Amino acid sequence: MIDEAELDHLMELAKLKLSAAEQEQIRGDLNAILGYFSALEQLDTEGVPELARPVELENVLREDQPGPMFSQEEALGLAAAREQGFFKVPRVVE
Amino acid sequence: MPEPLEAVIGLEVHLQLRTRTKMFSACRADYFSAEPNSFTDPLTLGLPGALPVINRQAVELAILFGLALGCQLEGRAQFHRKNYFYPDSPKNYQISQYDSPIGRSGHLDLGGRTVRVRRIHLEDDAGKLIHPPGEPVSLLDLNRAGMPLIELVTEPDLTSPLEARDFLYQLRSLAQTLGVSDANPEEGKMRADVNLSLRAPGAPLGTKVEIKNLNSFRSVQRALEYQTEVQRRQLRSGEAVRQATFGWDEAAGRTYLLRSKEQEADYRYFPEPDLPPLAITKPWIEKIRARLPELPSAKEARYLALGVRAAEAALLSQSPDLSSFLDRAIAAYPGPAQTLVNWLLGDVAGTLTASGIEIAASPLRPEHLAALAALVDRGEISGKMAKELLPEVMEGGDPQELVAARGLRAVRDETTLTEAIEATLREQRELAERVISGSNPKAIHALFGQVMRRTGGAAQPERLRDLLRARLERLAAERAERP
Repeated sequence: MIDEAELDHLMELAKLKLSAAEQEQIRGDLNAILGYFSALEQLDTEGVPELARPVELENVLREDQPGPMFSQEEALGLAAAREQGFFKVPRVVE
Repeated sequence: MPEPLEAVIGLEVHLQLRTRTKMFSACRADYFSAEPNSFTDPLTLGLPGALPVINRQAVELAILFGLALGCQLEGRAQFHRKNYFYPDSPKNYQISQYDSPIGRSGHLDLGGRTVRVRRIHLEDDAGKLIHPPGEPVSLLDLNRAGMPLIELVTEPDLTSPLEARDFLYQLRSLAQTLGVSDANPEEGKMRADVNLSLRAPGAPLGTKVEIKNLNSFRSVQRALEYQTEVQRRQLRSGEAVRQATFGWDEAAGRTYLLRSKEQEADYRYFPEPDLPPLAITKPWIEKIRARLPELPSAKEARYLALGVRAAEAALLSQSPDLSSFLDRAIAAYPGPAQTLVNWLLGDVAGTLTASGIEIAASPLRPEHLAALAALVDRGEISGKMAKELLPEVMEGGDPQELVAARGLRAVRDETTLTEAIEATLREQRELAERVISGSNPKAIHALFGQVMRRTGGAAQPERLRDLLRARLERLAAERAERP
């Protein structure tokens, strides 16, 4: 069960700010999802190998050959804020 | 006396791989000193729909490194997503390896001690953030984002800050010798995190602290020394060491507390759905093993066997540039290797240091150094002449041609040398007398030096020594015959 402390922690990790009403609603949603998985957990999976992906592929590799790149202007074209060729973001350290 | 406490140190080292392109995209990797954000592509920027494809060269370099470290490599390796939100990672996760890394259970020998390597794995690097002082912003350069890294994790087998530093030197020389990484801390191509705890000998492991983002070997040593002192004081005064993560302020010479670290579960690792696993097979490994060059430890043993002095053999084997130069010179030189080492680490190194040029970038050719040493050995020129020729040889000049062009030849001519000997004997009667009378036979060395000086260092030494000795013996014999 997701309690309020757990939700606070998840909001922190996801960098989300939710109102009290949103928190109440999402806690309900998450608990419903967890409830569904706890139903799945009751299935006997003894001896069933883990399946990380449905397609059997391995060693899909590319040669170390350079391809096209963006120009600096193209790279920064979508930036909300920029300065001297850098993306400008809210300060992340004190 | 308080019980001595011993340090238990483990390292996490990141090495940027020497590839032409990034880990998971064809974006070029040679961004060093380029304009910010001028080496990007859709994957580097984390644009929606961009898909990663594994760089074969990065995988093979990791396998090569793993082979040199004696890792277990055969089997499946899998990439995982490590999720976190931070501006330096625009796709909001790092592609790393979690429970099935490329290599496990290796080791690196450190002058008689073995340091176990727990694992090596591949991952992509983050971008670089700059925090201008006094402004409410951070600036982001994504050129480095997506670069291939090897992360190497040791077991806590290191017992002192100095040993930790030694380990990094050894690791760097290994990575450079293999061509796996430039392993250059100044360019951010080699970075280390360290963990440290103290304990009484034989006691269980104590609480460890981590110090992150150390970007020079000196910082690693100093930060560890600093934290060792802090913990020692805490334990002596009965305080508990708190598990924590620190940064290192090189200018202030102290560690500072970093924000509490996310717990491993917070990263929500899961198998990277966009990348199928790697199957590292025996034939693939063996193909790569064939590329293994001579490793520093083997090189050192070879130099010792050639009669090179121990300290110099160790030094040379750590430097791929110096040793490859030396090896080419040795191949072209019939004399003892130590003679070349004396040149290389003496006058050649001195001149290079003075001009700020690396041996690899110098026009000096190994064959020319060998030829210069051989000219001296054959008595064709004197040691002094060789030293005088060195600056031009270091500019790419061929010593044989230089000697021929100048008519430089060590003086072997008996008349010339005899004149010099006679003049010296007249001038240095007292020295000569000691040899002739037998009161101090060793004075002949001083006389030899004086004659050599008189010839401007041009005399061929063996020839001069023979003539001088013969002359003095004759003088002694004449005196004995006198009544």
